[in-house]
Formats: sequence, structure tokens, C-alpha cells
Amino acid sequence: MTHVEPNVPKAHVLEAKRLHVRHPGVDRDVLRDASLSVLEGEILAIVGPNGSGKSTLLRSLGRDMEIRRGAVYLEREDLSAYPRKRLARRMARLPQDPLSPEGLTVEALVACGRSPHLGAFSSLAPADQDIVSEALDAVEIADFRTRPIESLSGGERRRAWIAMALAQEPRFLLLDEPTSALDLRHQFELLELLGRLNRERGTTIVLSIHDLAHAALVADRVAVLSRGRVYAVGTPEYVLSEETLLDVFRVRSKVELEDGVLGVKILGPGDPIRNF
Amino acid sequence: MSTQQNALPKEFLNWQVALRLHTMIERNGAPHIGVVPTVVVKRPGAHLGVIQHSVVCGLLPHERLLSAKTTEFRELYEGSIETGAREVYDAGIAYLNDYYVSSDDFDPSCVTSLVPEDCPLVEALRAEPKCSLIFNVFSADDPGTLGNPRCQQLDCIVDVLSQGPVFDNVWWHNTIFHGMADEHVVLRFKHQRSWDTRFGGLQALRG
Repeated sequence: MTHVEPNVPKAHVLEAKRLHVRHPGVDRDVLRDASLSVLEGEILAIVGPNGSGKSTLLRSLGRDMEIRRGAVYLEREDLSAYPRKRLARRMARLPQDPLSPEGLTVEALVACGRSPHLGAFSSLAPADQDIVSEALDAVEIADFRTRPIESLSGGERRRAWIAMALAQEPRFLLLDEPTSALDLRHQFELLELLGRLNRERGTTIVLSIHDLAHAALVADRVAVLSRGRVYAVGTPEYVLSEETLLDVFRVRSKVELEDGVLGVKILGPGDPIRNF
Repeated sequence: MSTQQNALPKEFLNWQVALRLHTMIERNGAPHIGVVPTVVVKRPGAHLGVIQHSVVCGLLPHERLLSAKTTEFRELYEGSIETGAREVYDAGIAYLNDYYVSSDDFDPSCVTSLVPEDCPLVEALRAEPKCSLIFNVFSADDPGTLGNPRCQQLDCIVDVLSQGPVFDNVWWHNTIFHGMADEHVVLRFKHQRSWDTRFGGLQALRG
């Protein structure tokens, strides 16, 4: 997997500035003054306990939440003013459980990824067809191109959606819990795929993820959320510590992290170091 | 209100300053039970005619320092927040290590607390802005002067503040450690008289 060289400055290409976000009908903020900068070409993993605001932050970065205070900037432009089609060319977002119309084939789904690049009434040009085929190949799902989405396994379906996102040719890929509901092998294959996309296409990837070991394996940097606030952000070595697990997850642990492989042994519940 | 006439007992203020310094140096900011009084407010219709509520109370900087300290709290928070709450917290602890030095730097007439606006305590205090703060410490977790058995009662008149210099100071102080607290108010407990029962008696220190 790739890792950021700490001394090589990279541009902040996607920035959340002091966000306050709440869900409709709820009288408290899910995100409270949360700031996060995504660096060009990195994989950034957002981790945290249930309800800490991971998905909300990811959705806010993708302009999928109403922001009460603060702003999100994509390449220094206010995301709220970004034209919809232009945004779709720059950024692809995959929710946790995307829904597709019944009977839609894998190829038709992936072809939807070309929509932001087409005119109002135009259909796929040969160049677009090539991009769809490349996307299918990239996630190794070309053999299933004529099959309906609902006939695929969980892992295959997830790859089909990622292929659709790739067909968008985005510079930014936002994924909400991409490994959830996948078996161990498919989880690992998916993380490998994300690493490959990042390395080979230079796609900047932001994902929310539950599994800290997965975050350490795939991400250049990790952002830890706690109660709607960004607790810390940095390299996995810096952030994924026993201290963090105590403060944020309220467990005592033994953490070992070497070459991106995180080993966590939970010793039991514990009191936070900091009185958050 | 005359600050001198209604000043907190010097001994109490010294004790509170020492507790807070101890909290920063030895407890990484976790409040000592000695700064968590019970607030007792008369409430007709409530059980025994009163409601009780525990609050974490704070000391307000002396009036001559109030504005400057508010600015420092705010700058500390805003200067670190983009690197995460952990760094803000640690910077706050480092800052407060040099903050609780002398009781002369704190307002001798009041203590404060930040509480949710919709809590029953605020409702009760809005109806009757008088209360007693009961500080109890029974050698809670550290022996010696910081944990000597004592019970101190402060009878207070309360301002419920949602804006202004006192609100801003308490709010930014809290923000360093707990993040932005929307829909909270500051209770300013203005001291009227004190009762010290540490020796089992009940004698007015003032009044």
C-alpha cells in the first residue's frame, strides 16, 4: 500500500472547514466543528465508534448533507456552489448500500458512470464504451457484464458499483464502509483494489471504515472521529495508538503496527486519558 | 453588587485554585470531586420542595483579566482545532498548567458553570434565581490538603447568561476541552454568604 512521505507537501484538495451538521428533525449536531483536509492522491480513512459521525462527515464531503455551519471546499472552490455535472465528473460517491433498479445489468450500471460526460440526449460513444469495459476489467467483473445486479454476491455487487464509479473517471472517490457485509477474502480484495486504483490512476480516495486494521492497511492517513469531532488525524502509526483506543473507543489495548499491519489486542474497558 | 462585601472566603478560593492546578498537573484535566458541587434550588411542587443538580463549576478570571483570557482561550482553540481535538485538549492542559497560580487572578465574587439550556436546573433558576452550592470533599481520591474532609455551602444569587463577556469566557474555556456547546447557558453563581461545616458544626463565615 502507499504511504505519504511526511516531508513532501501535497495540496489540500478537499477540505472540510469547521463543519456543524445535523440530521433533519434532530436537535443536536452530529458533526461539531469538524475540520478535515484531504491531500492530493492520498487514501484517507475515517474511523470512529458507532455514531461518531463517520458517514455524516463522508456525506458532507460529497455534498450529500445540508451543512449548518462551516463549508467544504473542492480544489479551493466552495462545494455548495459547484455545478452538479462538473462535480459528478470530479467526484464519485458510493453509499453503504446503494440501490439499483431490478433487472439492471452490470454493464448498464457501469455505463451509468458515463452520464456526467454525456450530452442531454446523447448515448455512449465508442470511447465511452471503452471506458466502461476498462472499468469492468479493472475490478475483474467483465465476465458478469450481462448479469442482473441482484444476482451477484455481496462482493461482486460492491465491485460492480466501484466499476460504475471508475467509469465516471473521478479524481475523488468517496466510499462509505466499503468492506461491510463482505467476507474476509472479499474485504482484502477490495482493499487491494482501492490501493491499486490509488497507485495506478492517482485517484484520491476517502473512505469511512470500521475496521482499524483495514484502515492501517489501506490508508496513508487516518482521521479518528469521536462524538462528532475530529479527535486526531495523521499517519496510522501516529493515530492508531493505545491512547486513541482508550480516549475514543474506551478500551485498554495492546497495539502493534508494523509495515501497515495493525495488531490490536483488547484488554478490557478503560477510562479515557483525556476528559473529553 | 459589591465584590468586597460578597467575596468568597479567601481560604475557599485558594483551595479551589489549588484543586484546579492539581487537576491539570496530576489528573490531565479530569475534574476533582471538589469542583463538582450540588446545586440546591427551591422548587415548589418538587419532592421536599427543592431540586438538586450536580455541576462542574469553574472560576472566572478577575475582571481585569477577563477579556484577555477569553481571547487566549479562543486563540488556543482556533489555532489547534484543525489538527484535531486531542491536540486542542493537550494544548489546553499545557496552558492551564500556568493558569491556576494565584487566587488573586480570579473573580472573588462568583463561580460559574456551563449547562444545557433545557435542563431542569435552568428552568428552576429562571423561576427562582437563588440557590445553595454544596461543596463536599471527603478525602475523595487524594489524601492531604486537597482532599481533607470538608463541606462548604455557598448561598448564591444566580445569573443565567446566554451572551456577554462572562458567557464568552466560560464558553471558550469549555470549548477547549469539550468542543463547541451550542444551546448551553452559563450560570453565574454570585456569592452571598458561606457556611463551613468541615468540623461538624454549622457556622456562618460571613453575614
